[in-house]
Amino acid sequence: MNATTKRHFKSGAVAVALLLLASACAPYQLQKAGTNISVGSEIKVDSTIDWNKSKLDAIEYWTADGPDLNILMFMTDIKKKQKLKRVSRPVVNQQAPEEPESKEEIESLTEFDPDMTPIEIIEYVADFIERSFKMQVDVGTIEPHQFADTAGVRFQFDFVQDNGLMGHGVGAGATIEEKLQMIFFMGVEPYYYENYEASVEALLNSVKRDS
Amino acid sequence: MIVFRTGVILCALAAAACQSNKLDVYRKPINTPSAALAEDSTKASPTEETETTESEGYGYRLSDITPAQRPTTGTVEGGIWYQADKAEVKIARSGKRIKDGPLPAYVEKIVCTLAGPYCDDIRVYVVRTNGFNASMMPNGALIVQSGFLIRVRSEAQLATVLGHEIGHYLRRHSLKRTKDTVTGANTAAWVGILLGVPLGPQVFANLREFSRDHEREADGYGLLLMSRAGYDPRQATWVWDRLVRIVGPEAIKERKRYNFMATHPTSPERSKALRIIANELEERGDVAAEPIDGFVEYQNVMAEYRADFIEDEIADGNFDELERLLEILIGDGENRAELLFYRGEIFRRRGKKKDPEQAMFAYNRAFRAGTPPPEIHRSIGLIHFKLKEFDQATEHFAKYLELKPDAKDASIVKSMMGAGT
Repeated sequence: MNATTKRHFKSGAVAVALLLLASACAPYQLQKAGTNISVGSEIKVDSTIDWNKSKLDAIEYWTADGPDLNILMFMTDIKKKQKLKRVSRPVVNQQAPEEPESKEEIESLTEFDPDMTPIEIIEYVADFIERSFKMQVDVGTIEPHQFADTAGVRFQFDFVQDNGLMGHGVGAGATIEEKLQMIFFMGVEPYYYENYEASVEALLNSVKRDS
Repeated sequence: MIVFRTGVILCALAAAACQSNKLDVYRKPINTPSAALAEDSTKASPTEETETTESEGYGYRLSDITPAQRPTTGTVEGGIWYQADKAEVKIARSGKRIKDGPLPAYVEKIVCTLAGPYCDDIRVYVVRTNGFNASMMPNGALIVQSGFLIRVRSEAQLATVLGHEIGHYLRRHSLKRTKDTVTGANTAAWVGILLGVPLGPQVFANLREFSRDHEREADGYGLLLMSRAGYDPRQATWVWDRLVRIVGPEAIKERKRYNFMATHPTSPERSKALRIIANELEERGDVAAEPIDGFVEYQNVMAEYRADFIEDEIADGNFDELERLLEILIGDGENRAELLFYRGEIFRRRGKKKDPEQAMFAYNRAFRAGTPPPEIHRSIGLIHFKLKEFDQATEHFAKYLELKPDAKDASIVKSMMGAGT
């Protein structure tokens, strides 16, 4: 091995090591409890507890115990004609990461339309959850909800993960200035949903416009 | 010109020879079935383990697995089974496994009928997973996907694919595949298998993919087992013809859409080969005079699950294939009102420019076909609502709530009634 080859080999090895490190460790930040925390460009929320903050692709999420156990997702600023591509599920329990959706699969996805009815918004989001987290989602109650200063929608759901874990979810959102703002939380049973239910309810009821 | 003609003739002869070789692979299980299934033991396939490679023509002289056989630990096959046993535990406890209702027992009954002396060695797991597939693990765990179940028409078509998967198990195709996948140079993987170290997901996935000749041989077993169980072996051809219509000719041509398309013989090749061999079986008198179709039985079992399976496919957003599938299911003639409702749902959920009109057309057909689910009124109401036709929307929302007063979305539906007044 000559000097140039050695140099290339070393820099390649460093790059691979960094890549492995980056994929192995989600870059979490502490999201401290507080008020008027901006999420996206249009809304802000209050949180009564501390969370770990990270991103799945471009979507911000907070978790208390790890994303496989509970996850609070902020799907903010979804624009007209936007398709909800499956997010890369975090690598847990040595599971292989999901293959990204093919061009044809993305092409066929439903586009966001600001004129969607509340029921259609929930269908749009629930389909995304099923695709991204490889779980059966059974949408339960759907009801009107005041989201910031806008008439929005609130929904509950049950889910079963492919590893057999079951859990609950709750979310709320609205179309504000032609863009969908949706926050949902899901956690497995027992404990990981119930323990944070009150904090999440308070957060969903705290949404304000970020003027 | 003469050279050109000679070339054409040679090419045609080569193609014919190739087709003939492939046909022999499909035929092999029928002419020399595994020892446990052979009615005439002199015609059973050899039991000695003398492998040849695929390039040498039909090979795989691995002995067949015998009923109740389990490989000993410390062997490569024992290691593969150990890995498969661990994977099976995950499948058994998977949240996607269907345990309730008549479907699992129904599929198990058909597997037992087909597998005969191997019945107790095969365990069936029906899972809610989209897409046309079923797969056999090396240790006899058979995974049947919901996406496959909604794409076939009858018990006989279900038996076609189940028989094929049983063929993989009988011929120990996974062992041959392992030896191809985990090459001698990959010592760590061999040691991993022998010591039971978990294999990487890709290596394990490879174990479940078989070579094209394995697939042809498994198809032959499918025909053998289904004709013995009283099913019409021509159903096997119809399954692949149906898949071509569902997936679409483009996807078939480019061998994409499903993983198995890359590893299996092409659907047209299978369809043609299976038709030839099914006719040969009939000529030999090996087809029942009144073969079992099991259309009504199958439709009755599926009635409890079909709507959920279609909803799963809609969530995947594969609207074009689903549209073709539903048109075929509607053509089958059962549950037309429900299926036409879901055809409308595809258009409503997709939401492209002309889709609302197409959705309304399908909903109207659903009413003409029978009694569709109450949700049809909610869907029609939503289309009117978006068109700002609030009176018609309210009328349909009211009908929906009348038919389904305990609907979980009653609160939001009520909030939409009376809009625009």
